[in-house]
Amino acid sequence: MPEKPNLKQLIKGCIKQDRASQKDLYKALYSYALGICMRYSDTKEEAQEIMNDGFMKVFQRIEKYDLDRPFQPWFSRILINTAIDHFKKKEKYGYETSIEDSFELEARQTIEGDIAYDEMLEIIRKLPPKYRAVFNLRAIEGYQHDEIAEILGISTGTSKSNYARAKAKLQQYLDVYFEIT
Amino acid sequence: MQEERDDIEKFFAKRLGEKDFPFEEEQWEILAKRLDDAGPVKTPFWIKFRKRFGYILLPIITFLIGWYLQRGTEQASPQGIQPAATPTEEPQNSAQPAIEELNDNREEPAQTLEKPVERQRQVSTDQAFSTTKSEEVAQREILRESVLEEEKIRASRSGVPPIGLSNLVYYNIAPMNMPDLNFPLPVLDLSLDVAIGDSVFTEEEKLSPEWSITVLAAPDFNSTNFRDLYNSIGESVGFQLNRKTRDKFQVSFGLLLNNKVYSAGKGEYSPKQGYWTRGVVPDITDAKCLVLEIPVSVGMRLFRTNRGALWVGQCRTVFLCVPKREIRLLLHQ
Repeated sequence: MPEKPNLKQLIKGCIKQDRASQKDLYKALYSYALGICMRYSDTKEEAQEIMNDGFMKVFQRIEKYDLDRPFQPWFSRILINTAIDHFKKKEKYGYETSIEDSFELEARQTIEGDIAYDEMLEIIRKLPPKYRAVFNLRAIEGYQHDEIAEILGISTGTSKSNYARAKAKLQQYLDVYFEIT
Repeated sequence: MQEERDDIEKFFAKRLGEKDFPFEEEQWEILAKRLDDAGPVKTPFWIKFRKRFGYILLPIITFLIGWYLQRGTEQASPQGIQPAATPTEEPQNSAQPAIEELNDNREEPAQTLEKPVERQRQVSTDQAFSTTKSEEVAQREILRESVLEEEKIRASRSGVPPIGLSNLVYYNIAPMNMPDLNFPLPVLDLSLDVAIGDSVFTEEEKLSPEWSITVLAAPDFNSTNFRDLYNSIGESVGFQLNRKTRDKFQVSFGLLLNNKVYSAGKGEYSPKQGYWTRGVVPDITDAKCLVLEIPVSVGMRLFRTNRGALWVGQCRTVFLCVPKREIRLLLHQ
C-alpha cells in the first residue's frame, strides 16, 4: 500500500473527527483493508464485517497514532488484531474445521497452469482456522513466530508446527489442484 | 510455475496481494451509522499532549539526575588530595608542591626555587585545600605574595621579564601524571539522522537499523563563560556505536579523543575546592589537555520523516585525562 501524499491530511482530519476525512480515508484504504480481512475470513461478508470493526477501532483510536511514523504498519496491525479477535471468538463458540473436512478441493486443469485470486483464497480458506491464521501472519504479513505466538496466545513451538503443517497442507491442495501425482 | 509453487510463501503472498476490491458505498454507510451511534471519542489529555510532556520532562529529568550526581561528587573526597593542614602546622616533607614555577619557556624545574619561598608556597598550597571563604581569601593573598616573591627571584636571575607579560607569572598548577577519571554532569544531546540516497522508505527498518555507527570529527569549543565562547578551539575525533532498543529508543556508546584548549580571564574560571586547581582561583587560565571521552547516551526519537529523524538524548560521559595536561595560571602582580 503506497502512502499517498494526502494521507497525513486525511489522518489529521480524522483526528478532528471530520466525517468527510474519515470517508476519504476509508475509501483510500478500502481495497487494502478488505484484502487483509479476506484472508482471515470465510466469506466476503464476514471480511467486510471484520474490516468495518477494524476501521471503527482506527477512527476511535486515531489520536494514539504517531503522525511521524508510517501509517501502514499501525493500520494493518489493528486490522489483523481485529481479525484474530474475530477468529478467537468463533473458536470459543465451537467453530472448528477438521483437516479432513477441509480437504475437498476439486482437481482442475487450467490452460495457462496459473491460478486466480479467488481460487487461491479458496485454497487458503480450506485450511483449519488455526493453521490459516499462522500461515497468514507468517507468510503474508511477515511476522516472526514469537510475535505470532503472542498475537494468538500460543507457544512459539505451536506456531512453528502449525506453520509447517499449514505449508504441507497447502502444498497438498495445490498438487491436487494442478493434478500432480 | 512449478518452482514458484515450491516456495509456497511467495506463491501465496504474491497472488493474494494482487487483488483490487472496488469501493462499496454501502459498506461506508454501515460504518458511518456505527460511528454516529458511538458518538465522539474523548481522548485523555495526556495522550493528546504526550509528546510535549516528553519534551518538557526529558530536560527536567536530565537536570535532576545531573544535580543529584554532581551533589554526590561534591560530597566525596577529591582524588589524590590530602586533608587540609592548618596554617600553624609545619608542612610535611612528603607533601608535593602543587605549583611549579616555569620560566619564560615554561621549562625551568621547580627545584631552583629558594627555600623560604618554596616553604611559603607549600603552606599556602596546603591551605588552599581548606574550606571557608575567609580562609580562602587569605590563602590566595599568601599565594599571591609568594608568587610575586618568586617572580622577583626569577627576574633577577634571567634579567628578562616575560615578553609582553612583564607583570604576570606563569604557573603550572597541580600537574597530574596519572589518568584522571571524571564523571561530569549528564548533558542533553540533540542529533539528526539524514538518509543518504534515494530512500523514500515505507518499511520501518530502513531508517532505524538495529545497529549503526556514527563517525565524529569536529572542532571542540570550550569556554569558562559565554563571553569568549569561541576563543579557544580544540579538535575532537571519534566514533559512536548506536543500538536501537525499541522503535523510538536507542542506546549509544563510543570513544572520543578531544584536544581541549581552555583560556579564561580574571574571574571567569572559579573551580571548586578540591578540583584540579586545588582551590586556587586563577587570574588567567591557559590550559591544554588531551581527553579520552567515553560517552554513553540514551536517545528518544522526537519525530521522523521519510528522509530523516531528530533524536533527543541524555548523555553521560566518563573522561580520562591523558597524562599530558598543562594548566597554567597567570596571577597579576
